Amino acid sequence: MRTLLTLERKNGNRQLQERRQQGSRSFTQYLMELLYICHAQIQYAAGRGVYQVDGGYRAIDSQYLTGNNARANRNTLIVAAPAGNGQVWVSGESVAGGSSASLTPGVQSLLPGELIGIQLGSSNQVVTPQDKYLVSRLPHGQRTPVSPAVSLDAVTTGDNNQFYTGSGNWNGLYIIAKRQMVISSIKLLLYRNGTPGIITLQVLSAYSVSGTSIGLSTLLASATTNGDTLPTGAPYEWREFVLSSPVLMLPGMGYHIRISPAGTGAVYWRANYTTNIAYTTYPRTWNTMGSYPQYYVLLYDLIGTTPREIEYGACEVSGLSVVNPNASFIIRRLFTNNSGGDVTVRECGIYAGSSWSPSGYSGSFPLCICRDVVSPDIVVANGEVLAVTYRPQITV
Amino acid sequence: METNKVRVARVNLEGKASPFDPDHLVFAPGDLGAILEWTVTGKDGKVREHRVVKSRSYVRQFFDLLMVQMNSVSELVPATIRDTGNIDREICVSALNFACNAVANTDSYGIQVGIGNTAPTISDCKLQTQIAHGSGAGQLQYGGVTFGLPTSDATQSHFTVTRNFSNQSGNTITVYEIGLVVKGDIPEPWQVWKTNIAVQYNFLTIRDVIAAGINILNGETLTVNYRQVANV
Repeated sequence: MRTLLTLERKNGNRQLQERRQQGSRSFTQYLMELLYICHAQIQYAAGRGVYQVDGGYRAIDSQYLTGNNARANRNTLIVAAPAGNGQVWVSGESVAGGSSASLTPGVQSLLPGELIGIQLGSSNQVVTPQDKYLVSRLPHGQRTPVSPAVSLDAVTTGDNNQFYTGSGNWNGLYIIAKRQMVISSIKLLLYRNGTPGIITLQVLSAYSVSGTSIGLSTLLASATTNGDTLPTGAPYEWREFVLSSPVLMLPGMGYHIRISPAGTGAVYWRANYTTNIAYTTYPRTWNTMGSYPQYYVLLYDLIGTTPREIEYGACEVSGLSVVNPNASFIIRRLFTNNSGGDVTVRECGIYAGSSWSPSGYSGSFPLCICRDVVSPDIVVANGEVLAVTYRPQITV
Repeated sequence: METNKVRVARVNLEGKASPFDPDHLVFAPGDLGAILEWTVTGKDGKVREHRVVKSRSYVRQFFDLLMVQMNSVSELVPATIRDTGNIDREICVSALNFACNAVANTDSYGIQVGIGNTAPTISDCKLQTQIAHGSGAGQLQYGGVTFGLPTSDATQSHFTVTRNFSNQSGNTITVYEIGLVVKGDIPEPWQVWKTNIAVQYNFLTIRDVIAAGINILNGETLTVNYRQVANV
């Protein structure tokens, strides 16, 4: 099977300015992994370890709920997607033991449309079969780049309570990123009791396991601060933790930010305590010992940068053509630049939606199945549209 | 001094081979395909024949099923794909699609062998003339399908699907065609719950014709490997 990659740039009047065609380089190891788990019907207990597109570790499998209630609606290879913020339902496993008349996906069985299908990026790093993501992905939207680092996502007001963390324990919050960000530091509103000593902060990739549980995987970055210099009460302090390395956060993906004091004292993290938690209010506490006091909304401030954005249209998978000895179909997406400046494209690829669902509660994540370097660069001016088409073809 | 000649099975390669590794067939950058490898082993365990060729092709059902998964085709508006019985079937997205983990004695899916030698066409939906499982005349005993784990190097990623076919028929059997058949799942949107998760249909995804044929003497075993490869 060969794949033809076509890139067409059109101006605001939809007049063709440039067309490139090149053989795609292109399908990476994760396409083989996804075909393998389907062929071999790999079960959850022996899942294949992979890394989703923000570096978080996951295990993929083809297991579905057993018995007559199962519909086996798990998907591991979704490429078609709506535009931008439109949602993609990746895994539709019904609740274990119940009738599948009610399919009740958890929030993290959904992914934003921009994370599924054809992707654009700005790095020309050489392609390898081990590529797990586009090196410098361009996110969906109309925004100009943000640099130097500023506050990008925060809950900074409304605190009426605090969450206690004692020596050696880990507590923190679980958030789902609303936009693509590269986070370089995190501020938390803290105070102390006694001598908490060095406080370690960690940022981990996280995913839903059930409605009130999350799982943790890859440690993405960490930071420390001297907790003994925190105030002992109001007005508290917004303490900044400078991360060991920047963390890429992608929209719709879950992350756990947690702290632990090493000393004999305790650290208190200011929060808003309320029993009226909206379904989408995700900055919630998570005790990594397993319990979930969900009524605390911990205050936080994520500081970082973002690249220039380009609007992701819908990604279609269509156009099957069968004329002996050939068959082909297309995967196509339009990208519109309304960011006010030029967008330089040096790489493109395909993210496929995959899922993990051992007990009826699904977590979804994108895997990179294809990556290409575009050379020379394509510069998409403000107001222009870039159409990217992959055409896989088989010939007997 | 008497010397004993050691009989070594000849390895035949077809296709473009790397001068640095003749056993490594070369795929062009961007290729996604399959390597077909077979070995005929005698009762004494000695290899009598070993060949490695580039598979001719996936057939259209591979794309049909791939598009079902890529589009997450629902039970409500399923896709139509022709099965190995030459019947159009309604198929929807499922964790069961592409399964080829057939157990021993099951010849309805997994790697299959046959005696048809008509050249493949893109719309082939089955082997021309499949060799049935068994120990009777013209039959081979189908082993269970096994898999080699996915792996990758600097330019290539791949995994392997393997099956043994044992000749206990009493006579030589010549194999002229080899294929890979996988499962596709049916929708049941009219059901409150899905009552028959075990029922799926079978779809041909690869078919190769071996012009010279593969002779399997009585008592010998044919081992077929399909190694699916993606090259960058």
